[in-house]
Amino acid sequence: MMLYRCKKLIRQAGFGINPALGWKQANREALLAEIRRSPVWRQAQDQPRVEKVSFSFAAFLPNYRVIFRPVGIMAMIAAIVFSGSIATVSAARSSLPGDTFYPVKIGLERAQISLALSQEKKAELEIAFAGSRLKEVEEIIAQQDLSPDRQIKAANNIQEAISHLTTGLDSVQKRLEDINKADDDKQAVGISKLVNDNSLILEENLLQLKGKIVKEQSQEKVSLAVDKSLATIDQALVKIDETNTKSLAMMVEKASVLPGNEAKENAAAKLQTTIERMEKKIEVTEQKINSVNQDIERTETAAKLEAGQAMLNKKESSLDKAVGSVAAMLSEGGNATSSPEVVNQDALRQMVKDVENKPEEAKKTIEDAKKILGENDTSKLVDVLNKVRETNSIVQDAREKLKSAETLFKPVEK
Amino acid sequence: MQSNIEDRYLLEATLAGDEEAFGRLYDKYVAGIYRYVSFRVAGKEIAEDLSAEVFLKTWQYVKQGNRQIENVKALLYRIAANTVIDHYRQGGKEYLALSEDSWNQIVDKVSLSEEAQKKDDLRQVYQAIKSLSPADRELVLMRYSNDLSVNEIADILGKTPGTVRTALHRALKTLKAIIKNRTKT
Repeated sequence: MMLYRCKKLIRQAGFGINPALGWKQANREALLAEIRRSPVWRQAQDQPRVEKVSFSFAAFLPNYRVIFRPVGIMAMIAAIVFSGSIATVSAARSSLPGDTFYPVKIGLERAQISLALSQEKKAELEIAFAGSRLKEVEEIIAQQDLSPDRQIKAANNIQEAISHLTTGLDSVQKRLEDINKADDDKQAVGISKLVNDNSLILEENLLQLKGKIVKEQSQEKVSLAVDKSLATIDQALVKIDETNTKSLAMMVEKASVLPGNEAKENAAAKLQTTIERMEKKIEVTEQKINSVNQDIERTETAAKLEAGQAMLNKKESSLDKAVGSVAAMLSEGGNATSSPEVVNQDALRQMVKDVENKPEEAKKTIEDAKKILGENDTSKLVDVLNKVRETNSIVQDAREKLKSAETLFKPVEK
Repeated sequence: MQSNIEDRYLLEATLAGDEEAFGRLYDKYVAGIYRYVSFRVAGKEIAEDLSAEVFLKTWQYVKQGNRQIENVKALLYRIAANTVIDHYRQGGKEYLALSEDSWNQIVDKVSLSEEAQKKDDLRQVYQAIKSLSPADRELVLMRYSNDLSVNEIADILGKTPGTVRTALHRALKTLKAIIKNRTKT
């Protein structure tokens, strides 16, 4: 290869890399918004613009008139072009997942985050955009109708919005880690409190939205799509819980080393709220265990009744075969215990048994946390935090096991 | 020259309250800055974030208003160069001036219909550039991948055009020797 070809290839390679149009536009809008926020720009708005531009322009450019005219024309062209981009941006802002402009909206938000000047502002924006994802889901649910195609589309769009929510929360968690490494403890407490407050709201809202998603069983395709979107929501709930735990831990740890009592008192209040939340979680888990137990009972009774009915039918069909029927009855009874349904049932019973004592275990740990917190000793906040974490992991473990139990339970239901 | 006068006017207009003027500067240079950054970092998202940062930093510099800006394009590229270096410094990694990731993307873009030879040549070019010293690599890339003139490179690097011309000549000589050796082997 010759040097001239090498140069040509480097040049071609350079021109082969171009920014994505959506990013370019979104970043431009965010940049101009940042300029409009600056005091320099605001002050300039109050002054007669032409004089100021001409004056400073003339200061370094003697032949400004020659240049000014083409620039003026260019400004007009740019204004027309820009009005087009404003239309695009406003269309993007009101878009929902599945719309053409939705990726622009996401890009615009990302650009806004990257242009935010402080970590606090960045975190604030990330949390606000996570809230926007939930609003989108709410709108999708409100627009839903009964046609299967629309339902599948809606389920897919919900999944898309929730995936972006999860990605956003990943970014919040990463930001928390970065802030945690930095030296500014006061800033860390402020941001972790902001994230913690908002993650609780996010969790509550997402749970409500989850309850609004109607599961249509009549169409298998619809049911599958809805199942997928519900699974994505469950993953997002886990992510929210993680974010919540991380922010709480950071808040408590950083508050413990900060001088003064204000941050510590705030952290203690936050721990109190978390303890109450945890108690509710334990209660719900307990109820879930009871309900799975009842379901098992019901299925077993139904299975026994069905087997009895089958045997009765056989008896009635032929008195001559009475002896044979009894044998069959016995054999069916024997088979029943080894049928796949009952094998599932046994495994299910075992699983439920494994988690049955978890709520009690969690209650004890959370009681310990309450006790330590009741001592009003701010130096023990980290101990309370550790107890809360322990409780959370017990409850989480129980929930995961129950979830596996529920999957096992499905074939029995069918 | 004409371009620089226009750029300086756009900066003045921005300071006078016309933010769209900065938008026009952005339109003019965003592709070049993105290209510059993309060549030096791995991943589209990082390139986008850093490019956004370049324009924001430029605005922050401009709005202080207490420093005379002689060459807007040079200022943008200087800020881009420092942003990329900072990115590597923060990550504790060595600054390479050419990301293998980006180059592979370029190689992948060469369609199947184009001769396989081109892909091969592009790989060879990458190896050759990689063999250059960091300073020579930077010069060659600025000159050819970003299509910057010797004067512009001199402004960006804060050197005289004569020094840059000589250094670039030497870098190309070295590149030629590397290519020659590679072709022989």
